[in-house]
Amino acid sequence: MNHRPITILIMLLSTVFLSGCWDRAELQDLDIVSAIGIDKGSDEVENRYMVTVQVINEGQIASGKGGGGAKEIAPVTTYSATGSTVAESLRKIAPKIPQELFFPHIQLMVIGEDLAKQEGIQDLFDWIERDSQFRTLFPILVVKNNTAKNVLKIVTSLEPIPSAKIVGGLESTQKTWGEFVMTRADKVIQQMSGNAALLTGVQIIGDPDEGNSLKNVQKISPPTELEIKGLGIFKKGKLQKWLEGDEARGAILINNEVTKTIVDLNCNKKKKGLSIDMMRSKTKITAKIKNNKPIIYIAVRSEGHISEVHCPIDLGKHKVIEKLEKQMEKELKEEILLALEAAKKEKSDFFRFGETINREDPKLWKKIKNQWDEEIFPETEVNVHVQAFIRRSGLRTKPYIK
Amino acid sequence: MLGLNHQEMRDSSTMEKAKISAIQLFALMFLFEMGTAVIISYGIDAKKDSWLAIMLGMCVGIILFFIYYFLFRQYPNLPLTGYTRKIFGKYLGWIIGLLYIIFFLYITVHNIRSFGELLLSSTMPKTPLLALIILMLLAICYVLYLGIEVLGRTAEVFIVILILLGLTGNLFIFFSGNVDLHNLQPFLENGWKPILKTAFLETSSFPFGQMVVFTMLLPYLNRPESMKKVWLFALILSGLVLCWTASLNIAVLGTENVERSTFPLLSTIGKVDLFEFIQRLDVIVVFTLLITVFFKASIFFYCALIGIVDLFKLKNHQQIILPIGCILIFWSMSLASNFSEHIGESRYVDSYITVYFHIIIPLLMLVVTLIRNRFKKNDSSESNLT
Repeated sequence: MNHRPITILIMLLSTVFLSGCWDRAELQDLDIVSAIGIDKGSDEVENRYMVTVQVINEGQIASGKGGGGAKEIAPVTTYSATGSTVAESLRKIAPKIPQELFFPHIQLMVIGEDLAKQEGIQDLFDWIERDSQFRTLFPILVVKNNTAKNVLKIVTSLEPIPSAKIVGGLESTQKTWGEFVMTRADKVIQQMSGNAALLTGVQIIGDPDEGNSLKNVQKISPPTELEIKGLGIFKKGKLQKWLEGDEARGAILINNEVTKTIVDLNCNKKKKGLSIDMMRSKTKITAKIKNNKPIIYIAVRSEGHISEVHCPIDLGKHKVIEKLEKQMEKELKEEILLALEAAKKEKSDFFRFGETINREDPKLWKKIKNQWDEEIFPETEVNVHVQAFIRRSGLRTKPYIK
Repeated sequence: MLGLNHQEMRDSSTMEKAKISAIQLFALMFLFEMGTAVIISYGIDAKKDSWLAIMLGMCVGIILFFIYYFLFRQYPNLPLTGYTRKIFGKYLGWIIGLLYIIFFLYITVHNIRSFGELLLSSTMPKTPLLALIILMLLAICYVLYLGIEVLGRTAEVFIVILILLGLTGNLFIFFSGNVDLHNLQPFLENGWKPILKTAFLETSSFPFGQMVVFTMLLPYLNRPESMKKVWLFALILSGLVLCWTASLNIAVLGTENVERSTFPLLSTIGKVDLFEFIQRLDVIVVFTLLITVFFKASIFFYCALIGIVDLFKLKNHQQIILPIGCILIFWSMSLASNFSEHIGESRYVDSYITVYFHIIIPLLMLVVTLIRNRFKKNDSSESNLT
């Protein structure tokens, strides 16, 4: 029992020495990064990349302050530096900032179009995977017709942090419109290990310099805005082409990523006078091998209801609905074919049909793997079969128009 | 015969007077089997069919069990180092026992180093490796100082925690919707060759063959007759869990990503993002690692200690824990200069050296015992005749 005081002393001492750890990070010593932008630097190797970080101005974001009156300080600040690797450029930002950069809360990463087109982005994401600080759950977007630096410096309305605004817009687009998807970093990296990839784009409407000021949000209709736009087709890491509208939605439909969207149909003689609110859609891709040649089958099954009508039509009749269903099937099939055509033209298999073939017949896939993108994929037969169901017509059957 | 019995008594008297129950043995075995194998990219050389390679490895483990079981039945009161001397004679047996002890110590060191490296690259990059290793070894030394009974009871508690962690982790992964079973198809993509190669060179010895270390603990069982059931149950259950985890990693990440990752389970759980609220669950994996490595290293270390006590005829194992613990700290620091060397070394050891300890020596012992038994029978029958 004589040991007891010593034991207690040792225990007390260990609480002093063992609490906390080497890797502690105090909140007041950190600058929280909300977004990263990567652009092409210059042609020299030393300045290959220009990296921009968007740091959150915590005091401005904290609740209670931004309630009334005009803000005087921007909610976020951007800093840029150049370097031959992304990691180096990020470290080179240190002299310009007050505290250490803190990355785990990144919400967004944007890539300038020049870099995507000229240099390619296939090798750009290794640092995200390698460093345990990063989560690969944020989206990666490509800036259309502009640089990432410009996108990150635009002040946005309603949502004070611009990256949160972009991500929020992206999420609601995916949920309700279905033309663009959240290209999450882990999915992008997975695509980059293959030859073809599909990344969502973001663009600036208006003058970027005008947007770089709080005046931008003092107007009811801001002169400069950010918009999610376009699906970039990448081949071997280089941006080839932008898909938009029906083509883009077709591509998303093939990838089975559409949750909700609006499909316009002709209403009697009025073109595009009736819209279907598509609530669910499921796409199945299968492959069959015939005469040593793969054939791809795409089966889509989608469901929806009528949300708007612009002509007198009796939706209480089953026959009418059936006709509309046929029309909807045709419409969706056309969109899918448009997307397929674009993919074949670019010789870029971003639908990963190759993997479907591999699942069906691994031996054949090993044989054709090397010629797949360039020679076989553009020639491959693809059968599209769409099944559409219009389940109900809302609270009315006939519209009030006569 | 009398002399032999007397010697057996003396040998067992040098051991700690402790008993472990069947449940404790099961908990120890299960935690032991999970050790690091559940975290690292295990069996991935077989690509999409790694689950099959793990199953085959488990089957080899079952066959090995019957060798160990036979030897245990022959000498139920002796640890492995005890019956090596009985079978191979005083001097050769002693040397083989020593080799086993060095092998156990090496695995201890290896596990502690793996633990340090993983913690360093996953959560605490700025912490020095030495600090992590010292803390881990201190904890291990302490529990071993208190004896195998305490370790067994600790295992009983921690196996519950581990199961809970595993269940929540699995649940979240499934609900996060990242599981794509297409990643596991096609079956036999590259034929049987890589599967068999992985099964016999990698998965059978690590971790199933490593269970040879439990032959040191068997004399402590309070009900030796339950050993067969417990061992097989623990082996099969842990095999299934490992198989499940490996498949889950591939289903979530895809083979390429698993191959690239040093710790795929960490990436798998990193993909969980439910309602933007349940996310960053890395701590589940880090805890799993901590618990399992703690038990694996403790078991290896303890068996090495009682082996030393047995071979050098010491009084108890408490007096050598700290000196050997200190040696282990330096050994684990000087084991490799970087992570790649560490992994490369373990691959080499797993494929070329472990086979002697897991298979060849036990098999030799089996053959020698069988031949001896036959001669004995002949002797006794002859003496009966005359």
